[in-house]
Amino acid sequence: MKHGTMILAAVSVVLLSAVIAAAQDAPINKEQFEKQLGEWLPGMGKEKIPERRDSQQKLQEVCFKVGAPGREKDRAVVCEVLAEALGTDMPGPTRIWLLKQLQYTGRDECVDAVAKSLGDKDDHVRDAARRALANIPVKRANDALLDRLSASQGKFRVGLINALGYRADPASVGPIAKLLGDKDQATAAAAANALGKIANADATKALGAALPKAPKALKGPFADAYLRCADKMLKEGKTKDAAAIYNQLSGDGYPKAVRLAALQGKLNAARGKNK
Amino acid sequence: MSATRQITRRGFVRGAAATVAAPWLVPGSALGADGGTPANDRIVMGAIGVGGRGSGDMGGLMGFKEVQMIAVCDPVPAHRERAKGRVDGHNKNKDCSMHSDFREITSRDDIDAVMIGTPDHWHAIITIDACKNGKDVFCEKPETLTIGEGRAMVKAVRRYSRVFGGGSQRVLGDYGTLPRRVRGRAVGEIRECFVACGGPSKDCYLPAEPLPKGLDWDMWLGPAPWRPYHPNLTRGGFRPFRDYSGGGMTDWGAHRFGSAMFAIGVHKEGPVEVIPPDGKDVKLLTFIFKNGLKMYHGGTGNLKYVGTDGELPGSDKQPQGDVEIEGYRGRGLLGDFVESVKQRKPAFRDIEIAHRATTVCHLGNIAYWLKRPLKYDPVKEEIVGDPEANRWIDRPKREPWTLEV
Repeated sequence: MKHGTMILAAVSVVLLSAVIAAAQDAPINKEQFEKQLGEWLPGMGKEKIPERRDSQQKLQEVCFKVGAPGREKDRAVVCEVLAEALGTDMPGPTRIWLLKQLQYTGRDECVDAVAKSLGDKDDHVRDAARRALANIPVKRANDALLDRLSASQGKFRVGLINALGYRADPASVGPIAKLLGDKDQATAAAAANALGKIANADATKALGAALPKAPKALKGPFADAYLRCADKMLKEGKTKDAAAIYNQLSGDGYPKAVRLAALQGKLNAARGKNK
Repeated sequence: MSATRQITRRGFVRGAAATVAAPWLVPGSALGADGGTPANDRIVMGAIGVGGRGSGDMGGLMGFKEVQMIAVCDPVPAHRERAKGRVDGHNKNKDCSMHSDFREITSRDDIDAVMIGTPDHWHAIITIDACKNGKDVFCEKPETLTIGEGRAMVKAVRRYSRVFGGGSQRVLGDYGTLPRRVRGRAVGEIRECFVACGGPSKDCYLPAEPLPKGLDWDMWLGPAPWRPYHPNLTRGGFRPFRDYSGGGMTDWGAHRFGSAMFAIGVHKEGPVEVIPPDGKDVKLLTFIFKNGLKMYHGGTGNLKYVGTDGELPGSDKQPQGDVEIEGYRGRGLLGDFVESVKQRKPAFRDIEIAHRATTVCHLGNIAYWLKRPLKYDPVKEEIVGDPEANRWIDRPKREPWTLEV
């Protein structure tokens, strides 16, 4: 009898696990998820960091699941609810955790809420929002970053430029190019780097025009970005255009490392190779 | 002004100043008269990240007569002070400079190469910065935190024609004759391989602790998301945590997956599929390569190869003919780096190979976190058909840091 009881218990555990697993894979009901999130939210921002684990991980588990192919509707429901929650009053750590989930799972439905967090008084929240927008693969996320650019300054502005460079959207070239002449050298260097990542024809042209006017301290970053544009051209088969840039950068007035890289580029162009 | 000045390789390279017609007295040491290495053959280095492992590598590099260590960098004062003491003792002077910001080392004209022993989340940024400043790089494993970083590092190393050596001495060192025997088809064609290492990384829930005086926490964190200080993180305990490292998957995985891929000959490729255990049919995380090779996480205590003609270890079979281990220049992994710098040739654990090995580890982590199979394009280096999983290929960095490549 005891043996039979044990078997029955084991079977029940297996069945219960299957039911729970199936429930987790069931379509997400918005009201139920809102209720569930409401139960988890207080734990996510607890003052003692170890006490945040349980509720944060439960939310993340859901986000990881609904990010799977074929679960777009569930993903959108979850992220809508997270975006709505972002609009309510909650501690910084909670906001940051929600933004982290949206960084990897959010799309169009959350852009407005995330963008609003770019203006949060807590700079860690602002940074989390910036990183989320950098990684949300919709055009409106790029627009949201661009919208903040002109009003921003200092480290945050550099961060916005970096996020735009990360996204490498050609639509960012115009606004970023205007910052190549910024009196803050960190801003100008970040702008050059971002253009070097986009590396399309407009970015190349902007860098080419700015390079002769760049102060000595910025010659290296600007030249490096310009080099990357040349490398991209070479890869696209625009050998002559690439060679012209390599030729320019192998001349006097550039850091030794840039001249060496440009020389290598010239050799690659001559051999018809691309990196 | 001193009547004597050392004429160095760098002095000549700088041009006219070194060739002024003035009476130079050249110390014998510059020419290697006292048994030292002539200045022109010296590799002057800076060590960036000199905690536990980093200081070990620093010491190992100083053991080569060609290497002259002159600067150390670490945001933890105790680490850099201890490292300076060691360097000064070795050099028999007090000239080693100390820094908290790596850029003070990478921007120096008198430094040829850097050793990077920081936590993983810094490896890419410092490597790329070093390359852009004309420095060769020895970088501890795991060489990358993300797949995107790895490719960025490859681009920078190639663009600036730098030597990059990755820190996986275990690829050859731990496994004796195994790589040669596998390469030499001692057990035929390898169909399966089992690799032991720890599990995936996870989020960090260490409590906040008071920040020790003088510790530059902002610099330690660098590109990683902000969190309060905890001493475990600066004492080598960062490894389990996703923001700084890849857990056991990249810790011993960088060695063992790297070793397995090298031995089998797929070290310049990548898998096309990654399947996490599902509690049913798939017992072990499985990587599938284009040629059908299956590589498993686990199922052994170390490394195991299953070939068409037997298994290794567990067989006495020897390679069929001579087997060359390409790219290895001898003298151990650090010596291989030193020789590669001297010969201007790719190191044994060149950045492309390091990147491919750590890519496998990162893909494993992503599959474990998301608990679903992934299809991967090793040429485009993208996760295919799963846009949300593909967002883990790289990560935006905390301001003001970014990858500059």
